[in-house]
Amino acid sequence: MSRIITVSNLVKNFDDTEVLKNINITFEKGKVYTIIGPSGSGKSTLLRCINQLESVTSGDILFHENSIIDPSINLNKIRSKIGMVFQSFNLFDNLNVLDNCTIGPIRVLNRDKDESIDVAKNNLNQVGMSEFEHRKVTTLSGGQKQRVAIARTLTMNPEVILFDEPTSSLDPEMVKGVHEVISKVINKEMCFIIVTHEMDFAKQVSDHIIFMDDGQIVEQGSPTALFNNPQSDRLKQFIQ
Amino acid sequence: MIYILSSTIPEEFFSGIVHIFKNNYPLYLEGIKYTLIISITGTLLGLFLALFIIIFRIQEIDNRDNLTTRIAKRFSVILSSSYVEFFRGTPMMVQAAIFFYGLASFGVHLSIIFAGIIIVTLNTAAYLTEVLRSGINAIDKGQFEGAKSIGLTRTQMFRFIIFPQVIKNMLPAIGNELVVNIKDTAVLSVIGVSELFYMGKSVAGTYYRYTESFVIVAILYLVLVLITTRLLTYIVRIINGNTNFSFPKSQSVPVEV
Repeated sequence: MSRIITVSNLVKNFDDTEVLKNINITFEKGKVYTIIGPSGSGKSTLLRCINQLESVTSGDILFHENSIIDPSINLNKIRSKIGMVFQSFNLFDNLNVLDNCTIGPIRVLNRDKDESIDVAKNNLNQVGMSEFEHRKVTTLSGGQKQRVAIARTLTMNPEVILFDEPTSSLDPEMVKGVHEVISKVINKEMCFIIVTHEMDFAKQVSDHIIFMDDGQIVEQGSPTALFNNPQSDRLKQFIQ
Repeated sequence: MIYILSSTIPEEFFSGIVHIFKNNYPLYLEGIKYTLIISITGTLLGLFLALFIIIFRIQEIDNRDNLTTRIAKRFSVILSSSYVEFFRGTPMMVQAAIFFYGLASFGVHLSIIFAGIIIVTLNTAAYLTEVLRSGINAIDKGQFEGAKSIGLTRTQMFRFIIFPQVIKNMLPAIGNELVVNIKDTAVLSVIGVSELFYMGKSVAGTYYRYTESFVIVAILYLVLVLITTRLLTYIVRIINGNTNFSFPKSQSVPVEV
């Protein structure tokens, strides 16, 4: 399998606080990675460094062979290939559901408008939001917003999709539906990196689980290995 | 002549007002015409100018920028904020005097109305730039991150996502600026613009009846502002579909963002 993202010796400081301490990890095409760990362990920060919503303090992140830290690289082009689904959805409030999905393909990828609409409708159908395509996004529920956000990201046809705690701000009864949608859109053509607090979901979808604590990767491996046979005390304590 | 005129108007206050208005209403209407032309044109042009200035005002230095870009961004922020500080920090009356007499001393003679429109435009642009800036600051950070995450450039992000939301939110503030301008054009009488206040002063001088003439002026301003605020409320309701909205009439009302 081919490597898409390589993180090497990554350090991130917020003022005097070391949030990420020398992270090394690679992400490959066709796999699902889940990052788990206590709050404040640096999971989301790691994710946000990968599409440069956070700058890095030192170390490097490669997208294929190219460093995304390099100031001369076209960051917007990289971002169009690394989609992100946010905890707080971050749909564009001034656009309706369909326009939220098509603005990226039309403006960033310079795709034909009709073609973009077709792709978007297809993806909205996949996440079960077809009938809402002309609704204002501000009128949707949290679960519906997150489905649209997933469709928006899919419509860009990225190589990687980052999920930053996609169900943490949802009502409990909406969580299952969004998890089902994520399981449904997972495919072998992309790489998925999911930060989550939902252990059952992590076990179910992941090929590889990464346990982080205090800005470091403490343990990683297959779901079976990590949950059935945890090595570190910290992970044993975390999953109990 | 003046003696004859002033002797023919009734001594009593209210009858005086009626008499003065009856005999001079074309002058007051002429004043209203210029007040409206200057304030409406000035507010609209000021809005366009503010949309241009804000581009310079919101430049942020990114750690991916090289030295030249950093210097250019810093310079554009200093320049645009100095503009805003100057026009917000000095009275419009003083600006009008400096602008009009200053240009005249260099041999540039502008039409008075044109000079008035320019002063109101420059002033409005400074206020609306600040309104825009606070409007941008009030937009949820997630809107910016969502736009960045799909790869929109900074220009696309502002054009398609941020500005449409900011402008919708600032409609009341733009309207408020128009109302303020209707009243504040009175200070343009210092350079001889024949707007409503100036006309009132002329009429007052003709009769030596200052109170009566200025009461008429005050009533006319009040009518203008009341009609304008109601029209604006109606327009904002149509655009926002919000039926509970009512319009601020004073500059001291904080900008809604």
